[in-house]
Amino acid sequence: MPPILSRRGNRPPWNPARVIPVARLGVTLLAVTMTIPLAAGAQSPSCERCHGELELLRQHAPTLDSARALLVRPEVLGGSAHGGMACTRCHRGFESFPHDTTAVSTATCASCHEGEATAWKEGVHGLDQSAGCSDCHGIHDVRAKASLETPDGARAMRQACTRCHFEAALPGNDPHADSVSCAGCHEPHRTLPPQDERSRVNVLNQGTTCGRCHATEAAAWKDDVHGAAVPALALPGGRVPPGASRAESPACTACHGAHGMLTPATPGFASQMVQRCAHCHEPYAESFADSYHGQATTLGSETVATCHDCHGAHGIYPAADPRSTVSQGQRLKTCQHCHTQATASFALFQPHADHSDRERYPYVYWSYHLMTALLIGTFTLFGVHTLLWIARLSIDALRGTSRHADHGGD
Amino acid sequence: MTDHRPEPPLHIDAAQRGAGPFVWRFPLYHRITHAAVIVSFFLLVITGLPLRFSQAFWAGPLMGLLGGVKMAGILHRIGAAITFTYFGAHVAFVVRRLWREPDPMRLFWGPDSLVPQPRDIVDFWQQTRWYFGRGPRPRFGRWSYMEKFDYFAVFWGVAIIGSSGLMLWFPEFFSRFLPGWLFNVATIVHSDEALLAAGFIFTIHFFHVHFRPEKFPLDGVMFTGRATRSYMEEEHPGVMEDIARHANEAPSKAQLPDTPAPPPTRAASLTAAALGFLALAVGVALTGMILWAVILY
Repeated sequence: MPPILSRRGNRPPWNPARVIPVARLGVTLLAVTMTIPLAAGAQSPSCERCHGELELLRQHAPTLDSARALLVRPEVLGGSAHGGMACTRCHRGFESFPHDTTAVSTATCASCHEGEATAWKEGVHGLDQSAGCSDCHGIHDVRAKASLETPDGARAMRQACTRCHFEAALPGNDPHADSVSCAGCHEPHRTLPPQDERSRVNVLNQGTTCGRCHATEAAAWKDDVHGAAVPALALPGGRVPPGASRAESPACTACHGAHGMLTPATPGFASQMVQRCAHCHEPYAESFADSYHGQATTLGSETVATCHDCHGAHGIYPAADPRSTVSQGQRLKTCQHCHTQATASFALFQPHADHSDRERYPYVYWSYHLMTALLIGTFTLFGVHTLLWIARLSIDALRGTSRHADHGGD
Repeated sequence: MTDHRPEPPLHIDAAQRGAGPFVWRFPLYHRITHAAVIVSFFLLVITGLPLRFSQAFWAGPLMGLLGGVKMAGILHRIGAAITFTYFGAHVAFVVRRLWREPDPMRLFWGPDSLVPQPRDIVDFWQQTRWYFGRGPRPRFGRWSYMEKFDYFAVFWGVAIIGSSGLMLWFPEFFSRFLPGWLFNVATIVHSDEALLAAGFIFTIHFFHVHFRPEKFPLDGVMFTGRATRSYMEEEHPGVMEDIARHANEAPSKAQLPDTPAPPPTRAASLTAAALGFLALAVGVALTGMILWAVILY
């Protein structure tokens, strides 16, 4: 079982019907209602009069803690989505006063929010009852949907979610950190693990989910070599290229990551993107690393071309496809992005030339091997010459033969 | 004449060992050229090596020390400009000498010429026999075959590394009339030939000129321009014989005798030794870095 489902599994099962944990207050409630000396003539006192005053509650509750449990600060309730609602919409059975001491609220969140409750039951939080409505929404301070979509609301939701999903906290430099709430990507009620094909963040659905904001990128990606490969890679029994796995389907997060995404403004963006491409395109990453572009990128240059500068980012096609930025028809234009004076001959440079491939790159193969032979030959000849010189002088030194004695021999 | 040296010779400098007066070996022009070779060569190697071995652990820190890839590129091009300058100046120097020489052929042949000749093959063979105890050491003339090789290696190196480097410096211009695959070839040739040059200078040249036991730790003759007679008799014993052998030939074909030189001042010797040791130390360190990278990557 994935950890996301089992994290709270060791907690005792929790009944979602009791959205407001009334039971544990039962005894306190009983004690308080029986001892409040209200004027006999009072017909419908406002709830706030008692439950909004800690001092009043304290006089009748057995302990300070139990008094606090009954306290609902008016400003908390007033600012919430339920601010204008009567308390008894949720606290049914407490309409009369003094309260019916045997009353148990029959209202649930589902009474009004049926769709959300149904969805919640199908999601991970409902299936194992690891988190109920109030765990995310709070009780009296429940937020309106509209307020959750503000930056302040996004931060509040992130705080609520990361109480359990602490490893999913967004680093401060994540481009979504201040603008998108967790629910912006993850379905809030029918929350499903990313492996589940119904999940919004599953590789099959990332194009739609991310595309809600990033429509241009998602549309370009959908038909390109990555977008077209996702369904086949993602489905069980799908056509999987050697070395790839279903989880590596090239949807949005395969390149961009999920929590802690990179943007072109992130320092080291270029070299990190190269590593991500290399994850699947190993041979091309190796030949890139051998080229000037690759060497300079390895050493921290942010200006030389990396994968996406030539191949594009969204809308990547094989070189044989005329839509490709590296196709015969478009390659020169692509080179000219940086090398403004490049000629047709310039664009015939092979940035991924492999010196071991004699068929495809004969010139590269022969120049590499001839140069290697030249190096080995030269160093062997002069290396032996030098080592023999050292050996001769060492022998002479050991024998005590001087140089002049040597000369005397002729 | 007892002693025209006001100061004692610098004994760690092989060229100042032994008694006897000094003679000129390298006039100022050649020393300046050699200094330009040293400066540009180190500049080129230090800025080029991190690219060649970009995966090596030392590549990133060295690039940082140089001020990043862009700055290293600028320094590399400054090194290239110095190289092309001394190379052009030397070609002009040779042409001028040919023009002025009464018999220009003496630059191409004979005891004073740097061009390899049958005598060098004989010397090489004799050197090899000496290694195996089958004969005496060869008696080198003005230029040993190793020195001739070093001289022409610079021509070869500048031609190959320089032309491929120019292609990579101005690819857009050269692509107007050169095929695209040649840039792939230029990348390989530039990088490998440069590695050959650096490896050769830092091991073979350093050993032959400075580190072999007869000369260790330093031969400053190229820095001060002069050497003692005893140095010349050890390293170039054939010069005197060449003078005698060619005595009956025309002066233009004869071996020129050594010109007496005033001893270098103490300050000049010490400066030469300090700069020489610095160059040797950097070269040895770079060799270690190259070996580390070649073995590991």
